[in-house]
Amino acid sequence: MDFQVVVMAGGYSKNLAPLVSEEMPKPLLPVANRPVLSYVLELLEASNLKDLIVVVEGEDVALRVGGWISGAYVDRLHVEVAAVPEEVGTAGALRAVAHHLTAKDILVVSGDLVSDVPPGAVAATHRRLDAAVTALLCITPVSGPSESVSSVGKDKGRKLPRANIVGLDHTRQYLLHVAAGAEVGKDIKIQKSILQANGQMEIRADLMDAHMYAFQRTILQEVLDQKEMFHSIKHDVFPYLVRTQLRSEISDKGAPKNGLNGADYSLNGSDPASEILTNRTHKCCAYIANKSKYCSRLNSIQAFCDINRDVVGEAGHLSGYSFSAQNNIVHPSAELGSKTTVGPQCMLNEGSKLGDKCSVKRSVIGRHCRIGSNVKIFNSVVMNHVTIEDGCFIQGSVICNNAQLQERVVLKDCQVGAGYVLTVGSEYKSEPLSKK
Amino acid sequence: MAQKKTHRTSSDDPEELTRTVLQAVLLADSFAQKFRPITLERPKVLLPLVNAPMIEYTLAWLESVGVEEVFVFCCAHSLQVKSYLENSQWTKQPGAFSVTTIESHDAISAGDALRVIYTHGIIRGDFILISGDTVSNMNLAKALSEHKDRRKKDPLAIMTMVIKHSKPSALTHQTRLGNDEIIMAIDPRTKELLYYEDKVDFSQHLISLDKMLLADRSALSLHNDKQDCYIDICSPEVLSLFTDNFDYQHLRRHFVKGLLIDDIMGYKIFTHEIQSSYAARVDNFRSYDTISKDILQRWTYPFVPDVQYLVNGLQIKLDREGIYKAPEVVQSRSAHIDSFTVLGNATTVGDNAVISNSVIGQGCTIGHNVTIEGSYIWDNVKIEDGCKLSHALVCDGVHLRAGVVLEPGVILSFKVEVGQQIVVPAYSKVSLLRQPSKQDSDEELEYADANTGIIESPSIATMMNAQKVDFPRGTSDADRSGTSEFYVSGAGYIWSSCEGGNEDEWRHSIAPIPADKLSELLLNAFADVDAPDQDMSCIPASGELLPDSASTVGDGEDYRDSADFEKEVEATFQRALAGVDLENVVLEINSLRLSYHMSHADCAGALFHSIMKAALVPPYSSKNELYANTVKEIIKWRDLLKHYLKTLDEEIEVILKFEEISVETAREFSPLFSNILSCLYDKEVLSEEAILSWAQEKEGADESDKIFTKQSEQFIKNLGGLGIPSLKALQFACCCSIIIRFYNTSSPLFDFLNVKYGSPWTPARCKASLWNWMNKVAEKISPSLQFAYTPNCKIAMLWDPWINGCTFSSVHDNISAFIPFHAKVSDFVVEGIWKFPDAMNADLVPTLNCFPISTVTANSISWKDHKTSFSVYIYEFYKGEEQVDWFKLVWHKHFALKYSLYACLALNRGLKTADILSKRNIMTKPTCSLCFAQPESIEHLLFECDYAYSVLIKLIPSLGNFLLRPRLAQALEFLGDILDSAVVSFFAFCFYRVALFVFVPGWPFWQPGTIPLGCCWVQVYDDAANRFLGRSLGQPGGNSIMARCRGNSDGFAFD
Repeated sequence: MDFQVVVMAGGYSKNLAPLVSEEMPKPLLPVANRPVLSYVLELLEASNLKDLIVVVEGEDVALRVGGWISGAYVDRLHVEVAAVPEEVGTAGALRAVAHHLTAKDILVVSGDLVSDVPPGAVAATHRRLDAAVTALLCITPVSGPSESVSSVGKDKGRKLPRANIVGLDHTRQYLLHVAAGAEVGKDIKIQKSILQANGQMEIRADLMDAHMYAFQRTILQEVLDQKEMFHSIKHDVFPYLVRTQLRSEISDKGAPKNGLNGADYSLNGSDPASEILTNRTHKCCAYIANKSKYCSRLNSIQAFCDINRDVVGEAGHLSGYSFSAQNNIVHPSAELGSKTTVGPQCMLNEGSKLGDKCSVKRSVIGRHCRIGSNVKIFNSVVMNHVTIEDGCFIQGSVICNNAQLQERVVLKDCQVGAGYVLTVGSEYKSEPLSKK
Repeated sequence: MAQKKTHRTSSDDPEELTRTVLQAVLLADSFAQKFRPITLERPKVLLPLVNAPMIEYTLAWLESVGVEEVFVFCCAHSLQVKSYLENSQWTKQPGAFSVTTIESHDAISAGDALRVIYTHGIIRGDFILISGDTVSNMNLAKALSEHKDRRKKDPLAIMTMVIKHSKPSALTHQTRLGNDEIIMAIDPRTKELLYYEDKVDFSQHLISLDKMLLADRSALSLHNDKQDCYIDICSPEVLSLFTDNFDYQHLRRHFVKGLLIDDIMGYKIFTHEIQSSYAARVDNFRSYDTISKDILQRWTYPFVPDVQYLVNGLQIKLDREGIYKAPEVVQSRSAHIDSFTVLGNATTVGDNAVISNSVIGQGCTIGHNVTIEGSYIWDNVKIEDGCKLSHALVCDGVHLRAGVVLEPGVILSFKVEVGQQIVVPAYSKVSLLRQPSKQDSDEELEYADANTGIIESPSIATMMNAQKVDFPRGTSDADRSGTSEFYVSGAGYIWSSCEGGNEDEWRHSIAPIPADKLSELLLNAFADVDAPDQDMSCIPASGELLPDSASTVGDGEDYRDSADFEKEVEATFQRALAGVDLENVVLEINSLRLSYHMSHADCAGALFHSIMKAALVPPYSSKNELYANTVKEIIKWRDLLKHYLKTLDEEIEVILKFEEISVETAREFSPLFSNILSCLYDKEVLSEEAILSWAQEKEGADESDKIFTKQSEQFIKNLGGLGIPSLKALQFACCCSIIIRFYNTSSPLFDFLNVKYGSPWTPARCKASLWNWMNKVAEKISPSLQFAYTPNCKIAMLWDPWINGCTFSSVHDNISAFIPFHAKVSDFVVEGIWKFPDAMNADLVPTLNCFPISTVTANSISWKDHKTSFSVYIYEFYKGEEQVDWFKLVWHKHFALKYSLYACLALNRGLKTADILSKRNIMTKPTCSLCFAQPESIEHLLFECDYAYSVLIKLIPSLGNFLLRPRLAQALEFLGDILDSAVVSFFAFCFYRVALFVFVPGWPFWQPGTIPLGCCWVQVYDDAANRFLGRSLGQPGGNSIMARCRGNSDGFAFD
């Protein structure tokens, strides 16, 4: 396939503080103990897309990510890691790697996507419809994984962004309108000319943009060159292409201008104008993923928790691990004390030790953690080398590498940064805790 | 026997259903002028469409779909319609199909027509609303049953519109019927119509849809490729809606849009799309042409000329290539009849005539060498040799002399004569009647009397000059130079086109759109497509479009307006004082409101201002007099004021206004502020919510602004809750009352109590619960009481706290040895002097001196600072309570009392669930009676039980998205996060958020030792109010019933 893939892996995302740190940039955040980037890379590999450019923000991130990739995928994928300055946006990142792009079509994927929708299907749709851009859309439940189900929701403000508002034609293949839910004011404004050209438009509010776009390279590069102000693919480039689909100034593919002398057409015959108007200058298409597919983006702490839970739970096939009879994953080298229970949808990695009478439910515990007795861990993510002493109670929290929780710490909906130490008996609720 | 019975019942049901006769309302008037000048002489519904009057098609279709009763509403030319119907088969034929005419002459719109029909009271059930120019062959059964099913489920679904796919041309933006394109938004699942726009503004490049349309559905489809067939299935409510809204005129523009915009009544309109059948309405000449062709091409089968469905009665034969011929057609051998042509009865066609795509009526004479193309020629038309007609409409009795050329789009009305060799220019309309001189904008009637003035139309005269037409030797005696009468040896006036000039004639003409017009449009279309670039490029890159720049109305102008408005309202109010009827005043103020663009709140404020001014008019000497005056005025004008106090905002506005008045204009009111406020509350002008939110609003204000809030503080605090005390409070107050009476009155009962128990403070020596309560109450209220010596008073020497709130025994140790147990104070007073056993006299004097021994006081016990009254007792009961605010969530006045009681009981653990009963040693089945699985407790009943949970999911569907059944804490968290969704009902939220929070011990932050319970409640309540009501109600809202109940639960049994 003549497809080049650009993976937008990001860097130290502010949304994810304090989870990300010098040692742990966003692409390497563990999801079920694997870097989140690996999910995208393996998804692409499964679709036989092996020519990848991974774009990260900052040189040091590039070093770390590059080191990890070369170790893990050395003879499986052909990966180039490119570093771009921070704050250039996704469009800027694409401009920076433009000279690498040579294939006919470019697939741009967000590096934080955890999904089992085959990118090959998106690419195939793109090719089949000869589209200028094809976007992957996922059906979200009324309050989907992108919205919070519990815990930290309050910190993010009351008004959670709704799913996008998307206009489709009646075949549900062509995209006619797109607007991010948060940007829509009181009224949904729809271009009349596009409606007139199609006759019918289905407006959906239950579709989520999964940030996987296939672009025609020539069109993409022209947009990037002409519109220097464009900062983001999702917010600028993609809506622009959808908006201008009837009158592209980008690629003059020889729209049938010969229709101008309308006298040639017989009076009762075909309507020349409608032919011209429906003959889009470039096509914007959508691939709507099946409802049963999993699709989620790790773009917030909430999403991090949700995805971790889902990957060891309902979307377990993504993790690549095999589940035990109790529907959990316990590494053989992990040690459990007496009367300690590990519930279903849990993961316990190698070398971790649990004391007596512990209870772990719907949580992921990383490598070489030391956990004392009488510890309760619910709905949480514990990364590697964490020490948790006796009698701690942890719910809905994330505890990063090398953190230490002394006795009887109670955490609810907290994020503990790497190497942070919590003193005996402290209690926190809904707080990010990290070294200043 | 049994079988017979079942048979009967089964046959009964269909009868029940069919008993309602299917009715139809047929509007035999289009209330438009599109067919002028023809309709000056004949109503539109009687104009022939392929040689049969249009109304025939409509009636035939109505009959075929099972309509039994048709009401034909006629307005213009009603006599013609009536006489036509009387002579037609419809009224003669026996059977189930009856046609009744309803006549009205002052109806000028469909709305008027429906109002007239409503007054007749003849519509009994669902009916079909159709206009008399509709051609259809659709099967209505499906649409009808859909409509009925919907009605059963949702009585608000009052109308079903029939629509059909028809994509408008991208160039002309009109359908092939010549109608403007319509933009509709339809719910793809329910087919509900959500948006309807038939007058599309071409200069707008964007369509705006209300975002709320997508709030409760995930998808909607937007169409501009549907055509409105103007066949509506309506429920009787439609008629009453027209009557209620007397300004509804047009069926679509006013009624449909009105219903879609109106979200108060919630009426819904649905659509039914027909796929293969035909439905169209003759709305203009273009659709006349199109529908005629459709009939000839048999799309409307069985309503085609050769089927005996229609009146003609004559056997029309269908030849090859769609040529229809009536018998007795005399046709020259050399005449060439081309495809899709109808030749009416007794028509003669001369040599070498060429006729194609045309309809020729009865009794026409067509000369030699005549060419007729795409034209409609009605009955008894004479066309002499060598005429050329192309795309023309020629009415009855027209006479075209030799060599006349009719260019495309010409309309010749009845009996027009055209002289030899004349070329009638394209799109001209010619009639024997003169064009009315002026279009009365109100007049949209089809008919008009022919005596209206003659148009002074030099442009037409010059046009005729340019064409070198000799001026008439005409039949008219009108002023020659100024008129448009014309034709050599002819008769008729050219009508100038009524609206918009010739520019748009092509849109609705019979003639097809000329090629040059199309190419012009095509160029425009390209320009259009390019043009939006400019305005699109200025939109923000983020993809959404900025709204138009907001209208910039200067502030100064605004102020002037509101001042004017206030003055006007005051003047109106003065008239009300002078005795004008109250209703008229309301009407006047309403009209003022509209003309000044004011809100109801402004009206309320202005009106209140006027009332207060009126209160200042009568002379007064003291505050009290002024207060009395004000109260009088308020009572007098309460009803008027209440007209404008529909919502909270308006009430708050009144308070703010009052404040403003008191500070600025009429300072006399300021000391009376709280009194008047409480009067307004008592008279039900203001609600407690308004006052509380006013106080709330003021909380953040400057100190100077807070004068009145402070003044009214006491009043504000007493508001709240249901306004009735709890049972415990009643018990308490009752005990207080007994205690007071115990001392102050003498009756056999109190004497008995006195002898039996001593005083309420005497340590209990019995188990009588009444006296135990009395003891407790007495203990509690002792600090508030004041004792005084009266002769024979019953104050117990030892036990009662008569020395400044202390008992005698607490003042002096070991004194009880000297004083008998039941001794009264009066025992130790002799003639106004203390007299004690000698042993202790010396010590006592200083203490006792502060207890005056009077002989005049009537009451030996009284309340400090207050008169003893019931409300004082109640107040005393709540005095020590925490001020908890969220009780309103339970005792909200909008809630049914029943639910509030349940919530309250649940909070107090007063619901008689099994676990609570078992604590009282009442043994019942311990499992939940709903699920029979788990032990029954309040938490279980309200949340954990599967049944309760399914109810909860019904209320808040998104709760169902949890992977596992959430714990209560999770559910509450979740509820907090999805509050934006309107689905979460107020009740569900309040109940679960508050009730569950409180009584679930598993809530991780509810630990009785660590956080004070009250704080916890307040926090929850505030949180809830913030999210729900959009404002914090943190202001102490008064005595909390909840707190009262809880706080006292130790002492008294609840029931």
